[in-house]
Amino acid sequence: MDRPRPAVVTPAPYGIAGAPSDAIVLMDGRSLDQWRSADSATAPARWKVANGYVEVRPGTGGIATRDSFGDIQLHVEWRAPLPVKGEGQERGNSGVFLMGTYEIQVLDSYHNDTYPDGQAGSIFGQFPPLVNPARAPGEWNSYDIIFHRPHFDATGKVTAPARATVIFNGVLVQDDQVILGPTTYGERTAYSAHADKLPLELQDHEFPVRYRNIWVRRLE
Amino acid sequence: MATLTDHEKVLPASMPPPLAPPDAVAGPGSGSERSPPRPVTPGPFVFVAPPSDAVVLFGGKHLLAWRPADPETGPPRWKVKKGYLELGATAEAITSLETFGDLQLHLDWSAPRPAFGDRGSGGHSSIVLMGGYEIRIIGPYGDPPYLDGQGGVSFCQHPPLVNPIRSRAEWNSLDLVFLRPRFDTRGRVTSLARLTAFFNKILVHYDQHLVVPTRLRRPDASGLLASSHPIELGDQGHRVRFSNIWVRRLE
Repeated sequence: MDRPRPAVVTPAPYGIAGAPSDAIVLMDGRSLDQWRSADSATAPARWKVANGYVEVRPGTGGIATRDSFGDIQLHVEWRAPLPVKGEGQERGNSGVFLMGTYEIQVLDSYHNDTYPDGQAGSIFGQFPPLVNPARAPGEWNSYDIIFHRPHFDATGKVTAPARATVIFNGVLVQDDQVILGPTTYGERTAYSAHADKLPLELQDHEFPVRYRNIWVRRLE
Repeated sequence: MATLTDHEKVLPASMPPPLAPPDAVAGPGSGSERSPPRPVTPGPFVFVAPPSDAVVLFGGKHLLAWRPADPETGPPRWKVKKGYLELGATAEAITSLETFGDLQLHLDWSAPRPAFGDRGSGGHSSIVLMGGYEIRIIGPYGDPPYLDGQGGVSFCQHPPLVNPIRSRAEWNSLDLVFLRPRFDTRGRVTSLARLTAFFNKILVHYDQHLVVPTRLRRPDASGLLASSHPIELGDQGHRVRFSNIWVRRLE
């Protein structure tokens, strides 16, 4: 907790980023057709769909895409809940889990102190964002993520770790950061071999965080 | 001060092997047999105002952050119009007064109206970082001159991953993350320059390692070896329009 906090940066006003022609639109705010429960491939996603956004319904579990992805450019918009409740990690917590395994943290980081590698835009538990450009709760934030999956040899040993570049509200917060392994809490976990393509997941951390305008471009 | 010759002498011996496939670093004008980047239609243009820690180099009103690249040419003849900057028809470049090393750069640009020039020459300009790393801007007019000189944005080493240019009369955006090369005390390269670029918000270069300076004209060796250097814009003599230029320092 005594590590220096990323500098606070005020980003530009929000502007919606329309999906390009070669993108797969994963969430248009009108349905959860592209999603299922993260816990079971056959169970439906049970988050709330309303007025152009999808909201975490606390306790129903995370959601996962029906499709699977490897290297991607991903656009995600999210909004921390109002009214503001809780502090630190207990305020507007959710997460974008790349390949269901590597988390880019979603958190209400606006005037909300917590450990740096747990802030919004962090590679959770590993790397703090370079700066903190979070918008106020109730305002929409954007993530633009370039993710390159890890590669494994035939024995399951990692030959190339996963890497991520993250632009948070138009501001660079992770620059081709090598990811150390799967996201776990309070410990380091070594890579373990997995498929070349896996579903993208959004986390239910018991807070009514909203998502919308999620699109993805395959890079491989 | 280091000379160009010094720089050329020290570069090859200490370079790590190119990380890109050999045909991707073949150089300007080569590889006409390679397939062109796939066209992608981007989402609608969105104006992105500078964040709070950005240095605004052009906010739509004046050119106070710039000087002519060549002091002999006198004051820039570029025109500041309604919120944008239009290059003159004579070749002249401008240089930022401030210097930058590692950076995140945003700018908006639009092709000349009406179309300027003939086949393959419709609206070129360029952004030059550290005096030697050139990112080209090429309008949607005519055929591109060659693979790694096209696509709206390109270093003349690496074609863009895809081509997400908008049609003429529309604004395009360019977002760059550029890390300058590092040298040891003897002037040898310890890490190559690296570029990530988004063209109309679409990834076109990812952490691309730049083996040699990409500027077509003679690079400025003092800039290449420095830890920061002015940004140079435009020297093609085409009436390209620019707006909303801002930079965040990353070091």
